[in-house]
Amino acid sequence: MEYNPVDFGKLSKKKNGPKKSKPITPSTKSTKKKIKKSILEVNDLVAGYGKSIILHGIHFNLYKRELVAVIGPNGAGKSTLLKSIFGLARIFDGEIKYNSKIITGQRSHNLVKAGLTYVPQLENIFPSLTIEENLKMGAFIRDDDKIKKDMDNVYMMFPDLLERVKDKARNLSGGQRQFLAIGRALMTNPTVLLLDEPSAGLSPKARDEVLKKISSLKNKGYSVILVEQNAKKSLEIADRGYILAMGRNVFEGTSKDILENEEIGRMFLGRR
Amino acid sequence: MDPGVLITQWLLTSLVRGSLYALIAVGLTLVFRILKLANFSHGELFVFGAYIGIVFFNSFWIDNLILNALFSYILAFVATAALAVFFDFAAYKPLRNRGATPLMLMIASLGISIIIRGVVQFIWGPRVQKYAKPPQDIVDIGGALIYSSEIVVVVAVIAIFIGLYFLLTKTKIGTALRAISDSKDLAEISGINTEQSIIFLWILAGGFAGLSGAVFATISPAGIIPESGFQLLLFLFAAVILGTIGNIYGAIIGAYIIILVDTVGSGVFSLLNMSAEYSKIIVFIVLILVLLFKPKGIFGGKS
Repeated sequence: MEYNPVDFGKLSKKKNGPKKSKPITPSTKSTKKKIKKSILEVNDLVAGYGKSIILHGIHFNLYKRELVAVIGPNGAGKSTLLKSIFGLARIFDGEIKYNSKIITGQRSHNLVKAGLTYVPQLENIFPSLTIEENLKMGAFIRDDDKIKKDMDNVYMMFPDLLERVKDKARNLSGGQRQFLAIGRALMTNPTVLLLDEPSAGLSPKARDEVLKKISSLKNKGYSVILVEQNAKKSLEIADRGYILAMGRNVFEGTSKDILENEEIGRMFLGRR
Repeated sequence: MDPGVLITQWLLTSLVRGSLYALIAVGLTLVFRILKLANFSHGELFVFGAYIGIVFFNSFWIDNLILNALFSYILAFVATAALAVFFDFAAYKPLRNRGATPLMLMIASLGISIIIRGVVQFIWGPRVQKYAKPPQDIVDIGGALIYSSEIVVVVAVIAIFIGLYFLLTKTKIGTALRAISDSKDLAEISGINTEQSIIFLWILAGGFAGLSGAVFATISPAGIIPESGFQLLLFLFAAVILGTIGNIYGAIIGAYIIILVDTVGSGVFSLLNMSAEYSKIIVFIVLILVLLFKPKGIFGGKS
C-alpha cells in the first residue's frame, strides 16, 4: 500500500517552497527499512454524532511501530477521529482499514479482539475497582496464558502501580490514573493504541512522565496514535504528526518538519 | 410478658424478616447501581416468586417436606430470574439502546409492575395464598419462639450473602458487573460483554427476589396477595436509601434496620392497644431523621 500525502498542506508549499515539498513519509527516507506497511488507514472519513458532522473528509495513516501525534485546536475533531476508528462515533462516509481489512463501523468489542485499544480522555479507569482488578478487566476478552506475564510487564513499566495493587483506583493521583488507563489498555494485548489526550489536566511533571512512558511504547512494538492539546510536547516524542482544524487535514509531516515550519509554529504551536 | 423475652422475640422476628428483605434489597440496589434504574417492579418480582413457590409447595409434588420446599424455592428462583431477564429484553434493553434517562426507565418499571401484578392476579386470583402445612416445629430460644425453618432461612440468607461477596469480588463476571457500574462505556471499550453481564445481573436480582418471595410465602402465616409487592416496595426503597443506594452492604444493613424498627414499632403499638400499622410512620420518621444527618445514607460519602 502506498502512502499518498493527498492534501498535503498548501501552506508549507507556499511558504517554504522546495525545501518542504520533498516526501514526508519516513519510509522513503530510510533505505534500510524497506517499504513500511500501513497498519491503520483512514480515507475520506466523514463522521460525527447524531446528525452533526465533525470530520469533513479526513485522511490518516499509521505505520507499524510508529507514534503519530494528532494535534490541532479545540474542536478540530481529534477525539472524534479516534472515536470513529474505535466505532464510537457515527460514520457518514469514508473507510477505515486495519491491517488492510475494512473495519468501518465495527463495534468496539470486536475491535478490541482484533488488536485495537482505546484510552478515552475521561472515564478511563474503573474508580471503585482495585488497580489489579482494573488491569484484569483490560484482559476480560482474553483466555490465553500470557495474562499474568502481561500484567507483570505493566507493573514493570509503571512501578507506581505495583506498590498499590490492592488499592482502589479512585485513590490514585492524576498521573498514576493515566498510567493505569494505559496499563488497562495494554492488557487487552493490542497492536495499536489510540490515546486521547493522556496528559490533559496533569501537572507539568506528571505530563512529562506520562509522555515519556508513551514514547517508550513504540520501542515495545506498539503502534500509537496520540491525540494531544500540547502540540509541541507530543511532537517531541512522535515520529510524525497530523494537524487538523475544523474537521479537515491542515498539515502533516514528520515531527521535525512540523516543528521547524514557521507558519505552522505560529498558527498551531503558539510560537511567535 | 417478660420484657427480656419480648425483646428477644422482636430481635428474632426482625432477623428472619430482615433477612428476606435484605435478599431483595440487594437486588434492587444492584440494579440501581449498574443500570441506574430505580426498579418499581422489584416488589412484583417478589410476588411472582412467592406465587410460583407457594403453588408448587402446596401441591406437594414431592413427598418430602424439605425436598418439596427446596424444589419450590429453586423453581421460584429460576422462574423469577427468567421473568426479570424477559423484561430486560422486552423493555429495558431497547430503552437503554435508545439512551433512555433514569426517569424513563423508572416509569417503564412502574408499567411493568402493573403488568406483572395483573398477570399474577389473572392466573392465581386475588385471594390470599397460604401454606397448606405449617412450617416444621417450633424452637424455644430463651422464651422466644421461632420456627426451626426460620433459623434455616437466616443461615441460608447469610450464606448467600457470603457467596455474593465472593462472586462480586473474586470472579471475573462479578468484577465485570462492578466495572460496568463504574462506567459502562469503559467496560465496553475494554471488551467486556456488557449485555451478557446485565443478563447475569437480572438473574441475580430477579432470582433473589423470587426466592425471597417463595420463602416468605411458605413460612409466613400472613400469606401473600397480588398487592403484597407494592406494600413491600416502600420498605425496600427505605432500606436501600438508608444504606446508601447502590451500596450492597448498605442495602443489607438498611433492610435489617428498617425491619427492626418496624417490628419493635408494631410490638409497642400493639402493647398500647393501637394498630400495628402505625409502625410504618415510625419507620419513615427514622428514615427521614437519618437522611437529615446523612443525606446520602449511612454509607454515603464513601463512594
